[in-house]
Amino acid sequence: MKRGNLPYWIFLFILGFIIGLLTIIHFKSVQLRNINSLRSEKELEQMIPQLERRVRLLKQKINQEATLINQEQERLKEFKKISEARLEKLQQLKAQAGLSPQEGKGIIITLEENPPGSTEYFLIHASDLRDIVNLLWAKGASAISINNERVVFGTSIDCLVNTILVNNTKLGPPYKIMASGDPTSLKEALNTSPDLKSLRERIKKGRLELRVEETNNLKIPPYSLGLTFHYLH
Amino acid sequence: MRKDKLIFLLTSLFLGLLVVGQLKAVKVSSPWSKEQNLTWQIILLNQQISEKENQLKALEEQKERYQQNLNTASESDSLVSKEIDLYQKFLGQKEAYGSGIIVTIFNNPSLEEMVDLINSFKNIGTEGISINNQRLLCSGLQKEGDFFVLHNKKIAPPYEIRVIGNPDILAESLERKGGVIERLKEVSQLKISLEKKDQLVLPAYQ
Repeated sequence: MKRGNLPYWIFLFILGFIIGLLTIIHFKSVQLRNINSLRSEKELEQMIPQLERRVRLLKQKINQEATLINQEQERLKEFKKISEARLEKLQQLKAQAGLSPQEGKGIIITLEENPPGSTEYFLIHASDLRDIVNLLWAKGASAISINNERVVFGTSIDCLVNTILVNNTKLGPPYKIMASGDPTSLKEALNTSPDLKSLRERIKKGRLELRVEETNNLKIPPYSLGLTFHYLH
Repeated sequence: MRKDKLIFLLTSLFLGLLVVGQLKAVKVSSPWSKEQNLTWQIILLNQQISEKENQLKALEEQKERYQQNLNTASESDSLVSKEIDLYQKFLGQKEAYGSGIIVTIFNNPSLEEMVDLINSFKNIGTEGISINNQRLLCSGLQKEGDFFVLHNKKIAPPYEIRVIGNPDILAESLERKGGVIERLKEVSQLKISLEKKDQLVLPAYQ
């Protein structure tokens, strides 16, 4: 080995070392993937619509079953097996729990991303809707719906991969929130309450638009999933 | 010398290929979050399915009880009375009982933290909530200084939140790693405890 060739061999050594290192990293990372991918992404993706179909079907069945119970109660009332007063009382309570449509005075709030339909920002968060619902209830709203999903006691408003779920139903902008109650005080609360500070900051920046419309003929749909109590007694 | 150059070229080529391969491998494994998201969606959908199946079963049983033609008038009436009783408890017209959990917050959460915590109880599943012996219905919370205001009444820490529902599912979902309680403890610096209960009493709405 000639003296002048030494840097050349050092270079080759370093090269070999790097190659070796990369090979190890390469195989290690491949192994990591094999451990983690149980099912292919595509397969997982295909499962979702199937499961969603099952949920829809179950919701339909629940709805049917709740209607059948109501019919059965009416029939028993006709046969004088259930007192009219008692059944009326039950129907009132169910309406109070959100199982009947509600009509009357109130406001319609439209919350929209600016420009409309831009999906890259996802500027309206589930937490914004939670804050609005909390405020409307605090200010005396008696019934609320978001994009025709009735908000009842057990309703949660969540976020899942850039979609908002209300009653586990996927919703997207623009959000139309209906609230029955005194239109003037509800509108004022929305425009002035400090509870919506973060939302109002985004409106100021021009990224969001919030419109409030007062109305005398609001039609809020019922909660369609029926109520059953498993733990309360 | 020509042979050396050839070796050098081949090694560089191999090195280049490996680097590209490595980058690709990193790129392929980086949409991990998408796979995780999909898995999450599937878990949630499955949860919903079993929940809805239970609900459907309960409704079917209820319908059958009404349909039994042998029912006397008093039996039918008592079925309705039982339903009335449950709705009255649910709506806060009467004291409500049931299993569940007690979450106690010893210092002062923000309004948003409280709203989010209550939302997570609802997401997991609850049939009744009270805060410091005030029934929470379709009611909103407001904050005034260090107090919360619920139904025009001031409530002060410690906040004892009673939640009727499945104690195990509530506790496990809230206390899991990266779950709501951990976030409130670590990010929001709240002092918070959770206790499972076989029997809770929620007051009627006053």
